[in-house]
Amino acid sequence: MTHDKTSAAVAAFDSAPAAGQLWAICWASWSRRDFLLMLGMIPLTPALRLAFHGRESLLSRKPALFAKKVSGVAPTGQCSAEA
Amino acid sequence: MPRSDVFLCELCPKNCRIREGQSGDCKVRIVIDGELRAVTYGRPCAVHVDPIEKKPLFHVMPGSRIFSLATAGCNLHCKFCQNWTISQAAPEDIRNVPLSPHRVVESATSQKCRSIAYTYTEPVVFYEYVLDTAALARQAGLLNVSVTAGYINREPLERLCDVVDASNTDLKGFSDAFYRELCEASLKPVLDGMITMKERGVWLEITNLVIPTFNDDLDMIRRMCKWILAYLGPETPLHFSRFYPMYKVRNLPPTPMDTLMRAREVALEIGLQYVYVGNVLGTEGESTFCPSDGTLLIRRMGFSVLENHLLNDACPTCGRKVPGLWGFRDT
Repeated sequence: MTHDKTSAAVAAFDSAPAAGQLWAICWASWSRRDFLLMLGMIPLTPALRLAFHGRESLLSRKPALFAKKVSGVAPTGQCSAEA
Repeated sequence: MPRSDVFLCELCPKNCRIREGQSGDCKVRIVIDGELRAVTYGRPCAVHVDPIEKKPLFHVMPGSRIFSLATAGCNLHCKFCQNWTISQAAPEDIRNVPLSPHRVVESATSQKCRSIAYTYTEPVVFYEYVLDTAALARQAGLLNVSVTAGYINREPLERLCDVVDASNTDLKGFSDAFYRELCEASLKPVLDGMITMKERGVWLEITNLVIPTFNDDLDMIRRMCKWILAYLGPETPLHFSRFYPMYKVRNLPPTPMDTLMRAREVALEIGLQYVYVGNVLGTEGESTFCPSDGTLLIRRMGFSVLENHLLNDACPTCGRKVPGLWGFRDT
């Protein structure tokens, strides 16, 4: 895939609900007959991790300080930070 | 790309933009149900009672016990991280224990600790937990210590300085390239942060982990020491710490002793007055000497204080005051 297509695929994946992400991983793994791939991909996204572990029991819901809502295009991946 | 609510996290210079279900670069600030949340608040993954020398803090209540805690996550990704199993982990992937700020302070007091350290990983990423705990700790008469890489934006840092008494800040190398290539961060915010802490009255000690071939160049060390002298003053303690192969840097040997001792000599020549060598046993670089007359003030071995000759926070021979938060001594 070209870079643009890869980015679009990643963006679509990231924006899917947890069930959709799980389906995509299962499909990719089945199509490539690679179940290790599936096991390796499950922890990739926070959404899936939260779905599997149950966020209520594991994570605090304390609102973070120094956070503000901004408009604009969401980045792909976890963070658009310039390190 | 999809359009949705995006949160800007302005806690650290990475300024992550995060959307629903995603986390920041630190893995512990996640947008859940339309709000950015500090998901490790009250859920430390490491809780210990340490000697304060382990932080290392050599000018703060020597020989005292310090209640130390960490949560998962870090906003840096140092390839040589010594605590990578927790600092680079997502909170769901490691074991956390519920421990409210009240319970932290109660535990610290019952363990006869005089201070609380926010340490092991990176307190910046569990900022809210630090703020709340530190405020309670201060009410209980405990000191608050931040052991940090200092990669934080100015406004949150200033707020943190209101409750933190002392900090050991990691100055990992004195080049931006080093920070970018090995830590996924940058140097300037760290330097600015140390100046801010100094201005705000936080007692500051600096640790520099000396890694063979990466940051052991004496010219770089000399420039770093000159900067410390100019901006933080000659009385700022500097700890040169020995590197051991760890995490993604396992191909290098431990730092040779000669390198550490040369770094210490360079720092002393430049004019820094309290220069230490850490992660090694049995050198004079572990002890504190009076800069005026060379009197041995505090003799240490590893994390133990063997002798403490300070008299009213001063050299017993010449009377020169030694800076620090000496407070009281458990020794």
